[in-house]
Amino acid sequence: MSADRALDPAAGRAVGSSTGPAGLSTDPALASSAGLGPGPAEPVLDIRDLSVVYRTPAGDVRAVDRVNLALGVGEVIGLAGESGSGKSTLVYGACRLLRAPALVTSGSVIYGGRRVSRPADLLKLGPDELRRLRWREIAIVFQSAMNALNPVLRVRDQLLDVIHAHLKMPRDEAREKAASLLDLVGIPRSRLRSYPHELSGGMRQRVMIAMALATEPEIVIMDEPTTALDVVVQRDILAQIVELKERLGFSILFITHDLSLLLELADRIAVMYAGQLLEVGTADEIHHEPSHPYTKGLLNSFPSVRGPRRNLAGIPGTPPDLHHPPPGCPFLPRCGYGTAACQEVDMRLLPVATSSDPEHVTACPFILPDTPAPAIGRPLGAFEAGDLSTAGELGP
Amino acid sequence: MSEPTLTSAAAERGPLAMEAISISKDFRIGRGRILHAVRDVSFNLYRGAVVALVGESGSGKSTAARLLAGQERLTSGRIRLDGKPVEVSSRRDFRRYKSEVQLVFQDPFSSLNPVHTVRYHLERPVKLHQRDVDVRQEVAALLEQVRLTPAKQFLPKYPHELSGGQRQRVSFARALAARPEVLLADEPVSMLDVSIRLEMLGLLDDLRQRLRLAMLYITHDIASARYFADEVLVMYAGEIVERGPAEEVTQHPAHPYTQLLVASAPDPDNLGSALRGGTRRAAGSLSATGGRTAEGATAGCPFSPRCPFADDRCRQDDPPLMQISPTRGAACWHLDIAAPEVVAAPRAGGGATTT
Repeated sequence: MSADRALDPAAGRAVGSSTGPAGLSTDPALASSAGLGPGPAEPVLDIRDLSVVYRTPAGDVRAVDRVNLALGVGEVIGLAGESGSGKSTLVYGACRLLRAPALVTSGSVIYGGRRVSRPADLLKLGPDELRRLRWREIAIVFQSAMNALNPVLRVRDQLLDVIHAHLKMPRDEAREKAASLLDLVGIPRSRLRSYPHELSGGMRQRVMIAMALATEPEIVIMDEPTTALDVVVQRDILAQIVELKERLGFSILFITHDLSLLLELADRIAVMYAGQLLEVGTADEIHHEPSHPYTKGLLNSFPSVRGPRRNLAGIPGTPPDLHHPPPGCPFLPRCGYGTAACQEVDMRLLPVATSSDPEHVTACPFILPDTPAPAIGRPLGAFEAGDLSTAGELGP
Repeated sequence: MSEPTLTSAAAERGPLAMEAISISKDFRIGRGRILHAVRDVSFNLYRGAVVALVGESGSGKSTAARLLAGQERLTSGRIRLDGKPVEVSSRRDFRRYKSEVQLVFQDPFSSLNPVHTVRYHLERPVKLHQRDVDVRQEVAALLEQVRLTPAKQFLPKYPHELSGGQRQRVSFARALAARPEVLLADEPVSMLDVSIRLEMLGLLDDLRQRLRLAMLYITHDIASARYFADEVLVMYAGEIVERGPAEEVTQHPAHPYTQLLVASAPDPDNLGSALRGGTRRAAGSLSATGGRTAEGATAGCPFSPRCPFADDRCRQDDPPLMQISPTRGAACWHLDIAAPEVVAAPRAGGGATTT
């Protein structure tokens, strides 16, 4: 598919027709329906059939299991999942940032940005080619800015480091560039001389974003960039990210465990569980017509400050031990809808039967968006003052 | 500052357990500068009720919890437990106090000792705080209480063998080992995955009820406070700027800062309105970085540098907590402009209800 792509040098963009695997590629109709404006015709990053295992003495742990995901130009994809679901492993595996014992066992990751002459498979590149691509084309904003920034270097030196490593630029110009990067993320230039510990958590995260944007990358991967921040700062930074995206036109792969953020931020959402994608759809579809029980569970997990009080249930239980994955659907042990048939389901992503959007795919063939919810657990907010019947013998 | 005669929304749940009366804490931060981390804060905790302390990082909410836990000395003010003033000067008194008031920390990854097993973490407080109990049985019962079952399977485990949720359950069990009356939970779920937060809050709620715990729930997530707490106290720069019943405060915030907090909460029901398209909603345009630290405003209302309604009076006089209803108050000079629908009878000297 990628081999027959022609390149239009004037536009600097890959052109051609493609339908993408497993109904997962982006198409213009889908994108414009999500309010994107001109939709991505070609994925800028196309992850296909990617599997990653962790080699352990007790056997291989399948952290990522045959995942397909395509990121369009200018698109924001949200990758949602609990810790241990493999969402970070998927992305780091695709960028070849994993070290042993992690091992990519199958798949391809096709990068087709504007600046490269032809699409390249990241998994097949040599070290030099890879180094040229990293940061210049694909930059990452890590979760913990405190750990990712060098505590003994001033902000300016860290920014200059990136600029000198990836762009050929005279000293003065580089200094000016470092300063303008801080302007970009709304930090006063006087902070160039600051050390990371002199900055607030929000500022540190902004510096991380400035560093990622230093090379004007095509793709910015954001790995829980706001998880350590409180809500007000989080909102400010997310708004800034969206603003910069609109202005600079990069694509975002946003990793988080907080689905509520993605509903507001992302164009499309991919829900990951136990190394597999369970559901992919536009933010709107995921929000209003979630099909997979896990997605439904996630949506019923966060209290909303607005609207009527709902009975929230969360998702009881813990993710499966990937040393010994259960047969069939990995979510079955925690699923309120589960039946015997779930043990034999092959986890292929198929279009949701009732959805008009063929790009809305789910791994659960049994449950539809309108399937009534089973009674699970005891919802928070349903506790009554007089309900002391469960008082144990441990009361004081 | 005058003490408003507000009744806590949590009062009806049970008898009074703990009182914080005008507590303050100053920190010296070098060269004669003083950080007023907690300023003249008063609230009560009741058995079987949850009071939420909501604010952003640096607002002093954790310091308030540490003061209540006896881990920091008060600069001024008093703390009373069961009507008796708290004296933690002697070691024995402090130990007794600690057995009544327990603290749960935010980070289950660093609050457990990586070289010790679950058994060790739980046996130690049981031995310290309780006499004449079968330690083995007690530890097993604690694990059962936090639903880490079968207990046998978890006792020999080390923290790294547990998931984040399981670790936090061990922290809860450790806090309960002293059979406390008051549980101070400092962001107990904010390090956990969204999908298990609710379950953990459900567990805390269950424990509150079964053990009749008086609970202080510290969080920056005002949405969870809405669901979990009876009373919400909103803290900014060391001061309580608004307090009242959880549902009322979250649904009809009166103080501009509370309004900002509520507006900042992720709002999936209002999809795409705020973030997508790159425009910020009205309240979100308040800068999150302007004058944000507790040391910032030296005179007047601490929120005035960020407040859209601030005028000269706000920059000179710090407003006291003004009563809105018998259970509700907010510290703002301009409540009639900021929240006209909350203040039923507009006070004099406000002007038009333009927002």
